[in-house]
Amino acid sequence: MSLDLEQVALPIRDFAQQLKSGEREVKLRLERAVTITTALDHQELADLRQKIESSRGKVRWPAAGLFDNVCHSYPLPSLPQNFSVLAVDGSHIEIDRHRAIQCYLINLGQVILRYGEKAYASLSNKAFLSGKDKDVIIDNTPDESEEPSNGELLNIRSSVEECQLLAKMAGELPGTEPVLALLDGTLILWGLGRQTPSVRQLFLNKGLLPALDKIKAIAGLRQLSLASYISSPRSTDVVNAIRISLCKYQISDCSQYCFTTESTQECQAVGGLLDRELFGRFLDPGERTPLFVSPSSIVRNYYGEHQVYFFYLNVGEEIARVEIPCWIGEQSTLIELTHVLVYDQCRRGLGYPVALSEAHQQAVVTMADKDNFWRLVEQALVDYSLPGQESAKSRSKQTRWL
Amino acid sequence: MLTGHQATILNHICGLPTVGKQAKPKDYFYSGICPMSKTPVPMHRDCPLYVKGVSRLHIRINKKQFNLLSRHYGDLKGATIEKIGEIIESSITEFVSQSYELHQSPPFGSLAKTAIGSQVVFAVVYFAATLSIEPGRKPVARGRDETSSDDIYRQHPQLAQLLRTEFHSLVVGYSEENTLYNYLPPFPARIHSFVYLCDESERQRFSKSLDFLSLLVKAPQGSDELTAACLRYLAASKEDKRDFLVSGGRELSRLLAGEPQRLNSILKKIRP
Repeated sequence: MSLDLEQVALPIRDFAQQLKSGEREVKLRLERAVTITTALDHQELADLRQKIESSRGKVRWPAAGLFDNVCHSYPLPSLPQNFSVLAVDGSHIEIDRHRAIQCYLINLGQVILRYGEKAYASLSNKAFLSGKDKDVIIDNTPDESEEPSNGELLNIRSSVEECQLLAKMAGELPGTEPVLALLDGTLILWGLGRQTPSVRQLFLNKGLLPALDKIKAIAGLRQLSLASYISSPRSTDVVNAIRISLCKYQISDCSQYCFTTESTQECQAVGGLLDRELFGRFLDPGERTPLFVSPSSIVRNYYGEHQVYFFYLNVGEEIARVEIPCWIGEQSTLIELTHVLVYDQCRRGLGYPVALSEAHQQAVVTMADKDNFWRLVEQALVDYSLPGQESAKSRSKQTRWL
Repeated sequence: MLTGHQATILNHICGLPTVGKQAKPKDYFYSGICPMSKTPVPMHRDCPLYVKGVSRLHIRINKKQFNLLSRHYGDLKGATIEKIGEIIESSITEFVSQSYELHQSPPFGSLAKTAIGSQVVFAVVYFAATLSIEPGRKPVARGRDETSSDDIYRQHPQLAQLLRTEFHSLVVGYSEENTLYNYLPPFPARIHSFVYLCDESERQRFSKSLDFLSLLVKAPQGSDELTAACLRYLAASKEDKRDFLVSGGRELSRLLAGEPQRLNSILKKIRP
């Protein structure tokens, strides 16, 4: 039987109605947030910065570190005449435990776009397969026995592979023109917080961080910036900083002062707002916010010299979040390069960076690709006269008998 | 250096426009443009095969001459006649090719060729299109702020990778061992075979007989427009252009005796 849409039609309408009725409340909160941020003077900003640092780890919602007033906006710098944009995006086929072979596939799309004189494009992809013996088991600690590289771990692995490939592409790129290396999504491997130390070691110390080291080294030789682009970001890091400013206590400590229902707390006046909603009020198309420091504990604890900064950018169609390593954030020329090239990519890509969009198109693994992949696996088993130990459940799904 | 006698072996053949060993051992071919003078090889004075007054694109040479040429020109592969596309669909009656250059399809009605082993297959280009390489992705208008369509391609260099130009060619004959046959070859061309535009001498040789017209007017893919365009295209390489078109008209009158309206329609389009 297919999905009976009639059963969900009414609940969908209820959701829409709730959103509509909450619109006024969101507007009020937004006005409040705007008033607070525009009223912050130099001393208050310094105090807030201090309070955010003192409250770190004590508030339930991590707040971004501030450099400048939240409502400050930066105009679009001028576009260099010649430049290149590199992008990598990944897609994967997960391990299917019902299949005869336990393996996964990562497909990475890689794009090089050169603009200006000698405009040029290279679009390609790289697929690689990992099997049980080598990569599938990534941890073998006594308490967790075998942990297959699936779900969250495969996402992390894919992100690391993307960054490694980007570093390789940046190293091999000829010429001296400025370069923007782009990744999709966040630079922060969020899932690592829940993983064991050995998994963190594998993906960070032997994966992401050496790749970032390599990109940093290349950035020492030519004008190169690395950025990670988040479309329609749902983060509240900056709004959380405003929430701290509203907290009446010297140091915000939720577990000590606010264990009762949240609706009575002062900080709730701006709660529920997204950063992008706030910056929609401050930024004209092409403008960006100041830099902020990511409050992620993963970054703080494990990223070392690659702490993550971010800014929001009005790309015309939306407010996007751009994450950069701190060593880029410390060089104004590289921030400007990132700012203008990300905006330019969005302009050329009808609202989304064209290099990332093409990298995605190169990487995407469709349902038909997946079917063909598993058919190839089965054919290989047949060719080597191996038994195809497909599970009864998998067979049952494919054969829909009456 | 080749002697005058050796030069007489320069002999027009419809062989593969490439350098290398052919089906028969000891039988080597070279044809192409000299990388130095940009003229057909025998016309270049420094060329070991230079023969005054002989202009041939395709020459049959022996191994010694091949080695001589190889030494003289270095990488001969780079000096071959430029191929215009590669076959991506093939049948006995037609083939579809992808152009190597975007928007660079051979003219409608022109004569293209490809090779099947020792045979050279001739085909008339009857359709060309530029489209997205992925059926689900449609191009969108991008030029609001640009002054020319070339600017759009400069501003979006990925477009050239995401679009492709295809052309369809109707098989109208083949040649083997220097003999031309105005009927379909026994086998279809291979996928990924290279496709070339026939040069003037090939066009002249092919159009000595007008038997190919019967394939053209009867083919389901053919059209009166195509028949007329092909005749006009072939006539352009003739000194006696008018005579050729008159002969073509006569042949059509015979083939389309029972279809006067159709005949008139084509004749109007080829009127000298």
